[in-house]
Amino acid sequence: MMNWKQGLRAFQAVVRPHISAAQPTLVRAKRTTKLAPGASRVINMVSVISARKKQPRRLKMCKEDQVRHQMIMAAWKLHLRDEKAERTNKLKAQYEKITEACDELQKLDPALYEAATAREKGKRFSPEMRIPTDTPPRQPWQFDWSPPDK
Amino acid sequence: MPPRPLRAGILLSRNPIVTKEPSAFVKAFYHYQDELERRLMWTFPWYFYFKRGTLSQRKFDSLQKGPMPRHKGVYYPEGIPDVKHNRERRSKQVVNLPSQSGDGEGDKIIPQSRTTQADEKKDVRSLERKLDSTLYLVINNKEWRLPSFEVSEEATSLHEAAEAGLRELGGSNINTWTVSSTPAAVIKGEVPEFVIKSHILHGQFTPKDFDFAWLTKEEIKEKVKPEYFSSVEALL
Amino acid sequence: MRAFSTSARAAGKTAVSIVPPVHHTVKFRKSQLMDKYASLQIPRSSVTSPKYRPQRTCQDRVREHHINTVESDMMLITYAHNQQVLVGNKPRPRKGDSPYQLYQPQRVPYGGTQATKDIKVRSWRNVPMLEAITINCFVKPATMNHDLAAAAKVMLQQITGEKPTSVYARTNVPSWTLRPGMPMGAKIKLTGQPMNQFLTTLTEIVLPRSKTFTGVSNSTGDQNGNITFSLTADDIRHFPEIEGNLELWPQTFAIDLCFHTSAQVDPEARTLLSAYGLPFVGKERYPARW
Repeated sequence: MMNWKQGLRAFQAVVRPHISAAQPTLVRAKRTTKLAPGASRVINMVSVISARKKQPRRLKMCKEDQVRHQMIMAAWKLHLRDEKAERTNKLKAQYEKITEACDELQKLDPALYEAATAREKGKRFSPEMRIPTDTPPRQPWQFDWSPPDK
Repeated sequence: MPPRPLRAGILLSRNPIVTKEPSAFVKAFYHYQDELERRLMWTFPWYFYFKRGTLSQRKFDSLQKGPMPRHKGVYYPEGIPDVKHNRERRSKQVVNLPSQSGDGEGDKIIPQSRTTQADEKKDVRSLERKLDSTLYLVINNKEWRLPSFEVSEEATSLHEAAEAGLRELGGSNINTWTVSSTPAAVIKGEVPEFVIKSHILHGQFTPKDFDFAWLTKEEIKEKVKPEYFSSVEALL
Repeated sequence: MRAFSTSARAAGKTAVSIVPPVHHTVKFRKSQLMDKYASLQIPRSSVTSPKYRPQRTCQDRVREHHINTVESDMMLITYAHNQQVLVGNKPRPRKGDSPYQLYQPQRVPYGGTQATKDIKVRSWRNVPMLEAITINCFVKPATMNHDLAAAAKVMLQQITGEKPTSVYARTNVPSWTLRPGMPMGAKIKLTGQPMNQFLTTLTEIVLPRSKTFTGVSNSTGDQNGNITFSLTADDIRHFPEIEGNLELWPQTFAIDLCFHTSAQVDPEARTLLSAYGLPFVGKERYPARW
């Protein structure tokens, strides 16, 4: 007869050999007695993240499939490259526009230039800005908005 | 007081509300990668979520289509089954989850349509059109262009002048967030126009005297003069 | 005089040359060359590797938001006109006029013991972005009950969907019954799609429903653009994966989150994180070089 503490120790010997390596309680035979509820809960929990019995067969593609896979990934890389180039070009163009505007403003109106290029302290994005979702909310836009009374 | 020799323009944009519809290639790629990931996933630990010997476990079990068991001396045309933890290891695992409220009708989520009434009516003044792209405000003041305003001598900064001008033009029932006090571009002309970037969050733009539209980049290209478009194209 | 790693010991010299050109910097075990380990040499990005996992399996709305809106806005917000590189405090090299100085450490920087980084010119190439989120869960009572560390590991797996690694005690404190090697919790570093998924769950579901969380303190930050805050054990219960089967979780554990951004200074990192819906509270202090 094995109580739940012994069962847990046996389990620990399997799962965490570094803890109870010194305790010679490793049970190799099939367990016939029932575990206590506490121990079985821990075992259940740990087995969620253990690979034991849960890993699928290794992916072994045939030669044709490997070539197909390489082709797909090459196409995807090209897509990413184009996307990145478009993004970078756009940002670069915007950066040059900002520089041009600041140069022009400095010449035209130094006071406004100072106000425009001062470091913005405590700048935060508006909390009302939302990350886009896959489908819209019931009311996509709030039309009737009025400024809060001061 | 005489106005300064420059104007403050505003690039007011409505950010996308829904994600962009991916292209056919991107969709196919995501599908391929998703299937590969499902194939490589570990077996679903059902015993963690459905306690053994309970009603919920029985419900879950009844929904699963078990794998083909392996028997000696049987010929399997699709390969010998490799079953572990009630899962066929050679393929992806299909898990059918029981619905929360019995029959499965009550908890079905019906998503809203990604196209709105404004899209059907082609109402360019509505902020509910083209939910998946950024819209920019353009006005028709003699010609189609971004709104711009005079900067008086008392004005201390460009972005405040632009925001105040916007409210003067289109009413105060508009909630915006100015991106930065730094101008994003200058549109050169007789009077140089410094463009301030801003996002509309709530409310609407309702001018009295002239026409306006919320347009995407491609639509602006068709509407404004080519030389004007080339000066603002980088911003859109 | 140069020597090879095998012959140097016999010649009474160090095994590896530390003066360039340095050879033998990559160490390997002979067992790694065995045929049965051949598959481990394949890079994990290759589909033939047993460690292969697809990276992009669905549309990523946070990434889309970043590219559409946040990126160009951040560039405009952080823009500084006519910038120069702001050189940080550096260790001072010795003059080198004496042979004794060859292996002496450099002198500490002026005005402090810590070297600081240069602040480079901001341009379209280095717009701040969120690079990773590290979640660290350290369970103090795990010294008494080892199962708590395992439970913390499973909890992290549940809320992130990725596999965490265990953390172990490194010091010996007898009065706390703490010994080296004890499992004390778990940690995980999220990047890419799982990071964005975790971020939206956090800002859209968990934080708005938390009773204690008022915002991330404006005073956190390591001066390199990394922002840290923590969630209490009760906040964890608002994660949908935990809330869905609360009876399995009689005990949850507090976690520490670190948001790694590529911002060069902390205020810019805070601005960036606010774009994803993280609120900030408290008084903010600004670095001298900015």
